[in-house]
Amino acid sequence: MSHLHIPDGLLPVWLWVAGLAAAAIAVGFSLFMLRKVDLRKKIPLLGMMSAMMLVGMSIEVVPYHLNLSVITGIILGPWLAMVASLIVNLLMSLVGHGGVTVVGLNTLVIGFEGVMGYILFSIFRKALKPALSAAAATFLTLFMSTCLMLLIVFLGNIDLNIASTSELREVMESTPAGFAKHIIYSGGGFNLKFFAIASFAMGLIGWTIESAVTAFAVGFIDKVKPDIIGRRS
Amino acid sequence: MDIARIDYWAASGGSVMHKASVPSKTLATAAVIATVIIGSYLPLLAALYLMVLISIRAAGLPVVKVMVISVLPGLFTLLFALSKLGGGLLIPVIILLKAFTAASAMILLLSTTPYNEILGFVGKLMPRVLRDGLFMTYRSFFILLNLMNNFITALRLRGGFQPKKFWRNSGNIGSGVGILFINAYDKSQRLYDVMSIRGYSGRLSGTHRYRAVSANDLPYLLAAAVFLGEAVYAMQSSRQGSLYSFAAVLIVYTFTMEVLRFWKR
Repeated sequence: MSHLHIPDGLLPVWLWVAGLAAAAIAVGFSLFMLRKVDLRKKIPLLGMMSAMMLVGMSIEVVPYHLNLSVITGIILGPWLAMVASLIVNLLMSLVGHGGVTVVGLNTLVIGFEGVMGYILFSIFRKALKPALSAAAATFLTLFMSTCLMLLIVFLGNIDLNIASTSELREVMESTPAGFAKHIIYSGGGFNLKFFAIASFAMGLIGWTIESAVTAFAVGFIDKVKPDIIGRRS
Repeated sequence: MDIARIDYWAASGGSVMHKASVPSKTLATAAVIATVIIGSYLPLLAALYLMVLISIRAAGLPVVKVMVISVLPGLFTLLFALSKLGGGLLIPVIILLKAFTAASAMILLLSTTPYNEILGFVGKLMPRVLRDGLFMTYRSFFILLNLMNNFITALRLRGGFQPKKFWRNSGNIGSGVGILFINAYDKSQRLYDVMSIRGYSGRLSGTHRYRAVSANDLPYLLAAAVFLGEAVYAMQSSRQGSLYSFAAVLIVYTFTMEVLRFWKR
């Protein structure tokens, strides 16, 4: 469910421009971190793993499609995973799956899944078996990326014109509860509470499927070719 | 996602839209998306969506299938639109129209342009690693999709998918995904070896030649420019175009595209 591709025309210009800038910085930083790596050798791997993400997204398991961003992050590492997420989002935007203008924001969400999945998997595997570590890392990562997506939607519904008026200042100076109520039901009748509940309800099914599939896949790789996920056989 | 079908349409078509040059189609698509972003009233967006659908028909593509492909990833849009119901029905309808129009325009672009041309053009704006990554991803996708489809067929034939057996089904799919990742990893190593033998030195050659600009480029580009102009005018003057003017534009556009379609056949 975190894998909701925001289409063109829904979010304000300032937000998607900021998203493009942030994604450019994130990918630029990733490439900087990879400066000592011979990228010639990594291009085929990058292409294959990005293609695997696209293949995962092409297969419908119930009405949900797989994401495979966490397992890609585990195999590629955080920096290449960020580059892969930009490639995947660019290609998906070309086939109408997510907007072109919001490639930056979508890249940040999917890239976050790759990076966070890698970090959490590295932490968990010190105490757990690889399959369990992958399941826990995937579930937590997808929960966090759904929160990130909700933050983006929330930011997209803040009316910047109101933000400069005394009305908002008054609300902000009032109780925290009053401020929270104001931001939940703001932006031309947008109901963030409904959106959040629906996203988490559907997300829970998606996170569970994705975590189970990732766990079995990582468990299988660990038995057959463990060096791919960083363990020497 | 239906990348395989879209790729087939791009490679097999010979319509006016297929014969238009990549830069002009990209420019027209950018104009459609810009209109989607700044356009805020229903008649303009509805007419724009109709214009894109007329272009899809002129390209010889199945309109309903393209509409379905553009609607399928719309779960986010649907949730977003439902969350705006508090402001009346008009806003959700506008939201849906915006999302479907932009998605249809992008599908039209890729369905009428071979991938090497469009990626070569788009890739000019990117660092080499991203451009090469895009090419390699697109080429690898079809190999892996074929493997995955074979795997799913085999799994179904052997009773690998059973209703209400969540863990068993997940285990089977997960193992398949695991096999595919191992396959992809091995293939990438072999691919690098083969590319090295063939003289790969960190530079993949893509197509940088496009069709020359011709009369085929004009109708879609002009129509997109008219809608963008109207959206900009409406934004600055707060005056909306009349339904008659949109109807007139669409009739002229349909007539032009149909004439070109039969003439070029």
